[in-house]
Amino acid sequence: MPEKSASLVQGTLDMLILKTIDLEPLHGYGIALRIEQMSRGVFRVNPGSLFPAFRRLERSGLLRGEWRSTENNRRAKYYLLTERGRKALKSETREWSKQIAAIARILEAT
Amino acid sequence: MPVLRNALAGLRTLFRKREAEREMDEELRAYLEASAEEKMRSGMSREEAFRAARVEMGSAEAVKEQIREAGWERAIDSLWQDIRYGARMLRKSPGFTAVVVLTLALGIGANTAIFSAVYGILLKPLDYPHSGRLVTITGAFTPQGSSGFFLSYPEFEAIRSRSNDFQQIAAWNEWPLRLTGSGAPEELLATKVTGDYFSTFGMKPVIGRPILPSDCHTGRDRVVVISYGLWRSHFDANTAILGKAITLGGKPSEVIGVMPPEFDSHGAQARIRRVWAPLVPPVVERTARGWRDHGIIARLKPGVTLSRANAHLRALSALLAEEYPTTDKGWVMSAERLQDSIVKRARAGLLVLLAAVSLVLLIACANVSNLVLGRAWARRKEAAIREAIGATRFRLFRQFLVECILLGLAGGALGLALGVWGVSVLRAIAPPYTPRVNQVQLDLAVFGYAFGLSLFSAVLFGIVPSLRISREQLDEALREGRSAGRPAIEGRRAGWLRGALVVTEVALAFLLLIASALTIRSFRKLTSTPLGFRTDRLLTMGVDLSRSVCGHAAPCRAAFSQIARRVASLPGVESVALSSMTPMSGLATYSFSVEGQPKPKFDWQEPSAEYVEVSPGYFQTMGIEILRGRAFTSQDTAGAGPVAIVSRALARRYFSGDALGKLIHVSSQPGWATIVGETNDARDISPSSQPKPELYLPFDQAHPFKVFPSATLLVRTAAKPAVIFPFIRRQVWTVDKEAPVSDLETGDEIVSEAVANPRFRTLLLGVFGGLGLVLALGGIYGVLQYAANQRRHEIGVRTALGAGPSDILLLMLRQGLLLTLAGIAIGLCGALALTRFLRSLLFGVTPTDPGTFAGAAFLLVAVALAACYVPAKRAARTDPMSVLRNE
Repeated sequence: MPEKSASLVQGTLDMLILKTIDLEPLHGYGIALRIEQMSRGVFRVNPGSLFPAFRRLERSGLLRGEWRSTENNRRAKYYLLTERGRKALKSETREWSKQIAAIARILEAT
Repeated sequence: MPVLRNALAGLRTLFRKREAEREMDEELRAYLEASAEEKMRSGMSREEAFRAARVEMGSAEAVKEQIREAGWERAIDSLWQDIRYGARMLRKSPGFTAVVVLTLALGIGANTAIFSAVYGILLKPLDYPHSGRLVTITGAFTPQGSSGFFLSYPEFEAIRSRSNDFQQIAAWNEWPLRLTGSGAPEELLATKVTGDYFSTFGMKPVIGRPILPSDCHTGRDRVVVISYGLWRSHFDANTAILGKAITLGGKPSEVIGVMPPEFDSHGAQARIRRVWAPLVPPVVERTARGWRDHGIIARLKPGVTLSRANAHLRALSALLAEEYPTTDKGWVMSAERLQDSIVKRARAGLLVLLAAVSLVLLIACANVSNLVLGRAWARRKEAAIREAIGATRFRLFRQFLVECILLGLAGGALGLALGVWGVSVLRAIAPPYTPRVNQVQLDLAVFGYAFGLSLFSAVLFGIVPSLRISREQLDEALREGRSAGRPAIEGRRAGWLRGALVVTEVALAFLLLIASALTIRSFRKLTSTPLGFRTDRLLTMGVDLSRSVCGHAAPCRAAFSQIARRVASLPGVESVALSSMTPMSGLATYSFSVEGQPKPKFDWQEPSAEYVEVSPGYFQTMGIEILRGRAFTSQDTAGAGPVAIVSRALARRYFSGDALGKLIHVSSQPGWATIVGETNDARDISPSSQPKPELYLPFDQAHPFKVFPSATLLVRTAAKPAVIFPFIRRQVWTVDKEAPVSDLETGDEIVSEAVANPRFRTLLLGVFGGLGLVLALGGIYGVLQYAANQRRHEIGVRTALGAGPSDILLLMLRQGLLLTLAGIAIGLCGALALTRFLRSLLFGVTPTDPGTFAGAAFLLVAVALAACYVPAKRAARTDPMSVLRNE
C-alpha cells in the first residue's frame, strides 16, 4: 500500500483534518477520501495515522465526534470542528503560510 | 480546560474499557464499509471491494493499538498490566516473596519506629503558635565553658528594657508547693511567672484569665492558674472552681484560670498537675545580681533571626559586665530555640539510633537485592520470550522494577505494622524524663516516611537486577536449553555483582556491630564504675512536713530528728539519715570562702562544691567512708560550733589534700565552719561524671527549715527494702499526720534511673546490631549457597580429578571468607571514620577501642564461617558421577 503520509510534514496531518471538516462534518473515511481528493492523490492517509489523530484532536477539544447515519443509512462517527478547533486552524494556517513563504524565499535565493 | 477534558476522557476510556473498545470497532467497521462502497461505486464486486478495503487498511488490530497509544491512559493501562502480572508472579513463588517481604519489613519497621521518635521529639514543632520564634535565654561564664545557667531578675529586667529583638519576654522559676484541703495532700510543681508569660507562649486559658502584669505585685499575687490535669483530677473539671480559693503552701490562692491540656506537657518534663502563680520581684533579687535562678522565655519579633538576637545579647552582656564587674564579668547571655533547649539532651542518642536503623535497612536491601538478582537470572528465559514477542527492553525493565516496588510496598505495609508495635515498645521503654515522649506516635509524617522508605528501598534493591534483566543477551537464554541438562553458568560480571553486594553487607554489618559493641562496653563500664557509696538495701523517700509542725526551725528540727529516731527503731532498719538531696537527683553547687585565702575579684572565681546537708547517720547509711577525722554527731546542732566535712576531691583541690581543722564559710551558715572530716569521693551526681568536690554540712546547723520543711529520708535496711516502706510511713505519720511521703525509690532504682538513657541506647543498638548480624549471616549463606550451585560442575570435575571433600570444603570456605574479610576491611575504614560521632555517648571507651574492633571482627568472621559451612559441606559431598553424567 502506498504510504504517502510519510512525506507529510510532521504535524500537518492535524491541520489537514481540521481543514477538511471546516467545510462540513465528515466521517473517518470521508476525511481520508477528501484529503486524497483535494491533494489530487498526493496524500493518502491510512487509518493507522488517521484514527490516532482523531483521538488526539478530540482529546484536546479541537473537534468532537458524533454518531450519525450516512447517506446510505449506516451509522458512522462524524467529526465536527469545535470553536476552539476553528481558532486553532486559523492560527495554524497563518503560521503555515508564513513558514511556506519563508522557505520559498530561502529556496529562491539560491 | 483541555487538560481536564483529556484527563476525563482518559479516565472514561480506562473505566469503560469495553464500551470504548466497541466504539473503536464500530468506527473501523464504518470506515471499512465506506471504503468498500467507494470501491464498488468504481465498479468492483462487493467481495473484491471489501478485500481491497481490508488490504488498504491493514491489520485492524494494529490500527486499534495505534489508537490506544494516542491516549495517556494507555500508559496507566500497561502499568496496571505490569502490576497484575507482577503480583501473579510473586504469588507463584510464595517462599521468595515471604523472605523478601519479611526482611524488608524488619528494616522498614525498625526505621519507622525510630523515625517516629526522631520526628516526634526533634522535628515536630512545639504545640505553640509560631513556636519557632520561642527562645530561652540563659547565661554562661565564658572562662568556665559550661552554659545554660539561669539568669538573675535584674538581668531579666535589663533584657526586657534594653533589647529590641523580642516581642514578649517573661521570667519564671519553679518551686514545689503543697496543695492541701482538696483531697489528699499533694506536692505540685508551682511555676512563678511574670505577667507576659502566657502571652509569650501565645496560649490562653480554656476558662478564666491568665496571669497578667497587674497580678505581679505584693498584695495582689494570691491568684493562681491551674493545669488542665489538676483541674480534672482535683476539681472534677468544674468551671465553678473559678474565683474559689485553694490552699497552696498553707495559704489561700484564688483560682483565676485553667490552662488547656497542651500546656500540661509544657517544658522539658510532662508534669500533669501544676500551677502558675504571679512572680513578684522581691526587693532582694532586684539587687542581688549574682542570684541567678530565673528561667527566661521570649518570643523573637517576626523577622529577627536568632543570631541577631544573640549578637545583641552579647553586646548587652558586655555592657552589664562594665556596669557590674563583680557579678557580671565574663558572664554572657545567649538565646536558644525553645525546642532545641528541650530536646538537645536526646538529640545525639536519637540520631545515632537513626543511623543504626538505616544501616539495618541498607543491609536488608543488599540481602534482598541478591535474592532478586538470583530470581532475575532464573527468569531470563521468560524475559527472552517476552522480548521475542515484542516487549521493549524498557518494558522488561519496568515490569521487573514494578515487581520490586510491589515487594517494597508489601514490606513497607508489614513494616508499618511492626512500626506501630515498635512505637508502643519505644514509648514503654523510653527512659524517664525523655523530652516530648508523648509526641512519639504514628502520625502522617511518619506514615509518609515509611511509604517513601518502601519506594526508596524497592528502587535501591531493584534497580540493578532490573537493569540486568533488560540488558541480558536474551537470545542466549533461549538457546541454552539445548545444551542438555547442564545449567547455564551466570557470567563473571554477575558473580562479581553478588560478591560486591555481600561485601557491602558485611561492611555495613561490621559498622553496626562496632557501634553496638562500643555502646555495650561503655554501658558495662558505666554500671561497674564504683560509685563510692552502696546502693543495695538502700531506701530513699521524700518527707514533707506540714507548716503546723514545721512552723519554726526548732520544732521542725525536733520533728525531723524524731522521725529519724522512730524509723531507726523499726526492726529490719540498720541505719537512718536525713539529707537535703536525693542521691543523683541533680546539682546544688555552692560557692564558699576559705580562711586565709583572699576573696577573689569575681564571684565566679570563688571556690565551689556540690553542697549537701546531712544528718549524723548519713555516711554510715550511704556507705561513704570517712577517710580522716570524724563523721557528724548528734552534738553538731544549731547551738554548737559550725562544722563541715569535705570529700577528698575538695580537700585536694582547695587544701592541697589536707583540709582537717581548716575553716571555711558557706553562705547558708552563719559563721566559719571547721572541717572535721574527709570522705572518699562519691559519684552521687551520675555514674558517668567524675566525682566533684563535695561539701557536707550538718543538717541541724544549716537546713533552712522556713523555706524547705522537707528532706530526703535515707534508710539502710537489713533485708529487701520495699517491704518495710509502709512501716516507715506510719512512723512519719505519727509525727506529722499531714506529711506526704513521696518518691519512694531504692538505691538500685536510683542508679538504674541515672543510667536509663545509656541503657535505652545500648538496648536498641544491641538489638539493631544483632539484626544486622543475622541479616548479614543470611546474605553470606545465600550467596555461598548460590555459588555452590553454580560451581557444581566445576566441583564435579575437581572431585573426579582427585580433590577430596576437605579440599572442596576449603575451596568454598575460602570464597566466603575472602568476601567477609573484604567487607570487614571496608567496614573498618568506615568505622574509623564514623565512630567519633559516638564519642559524646561513650563512657570509659574510646571510639576506636582496638579490643572492641577486634572482637567485632572476630565475631563477624565466626558467624560468616558458620554461614558458609552448610553450603560448603553440601558442595563437598557432590557426587562427581551424577554431575558429569548429567551432561
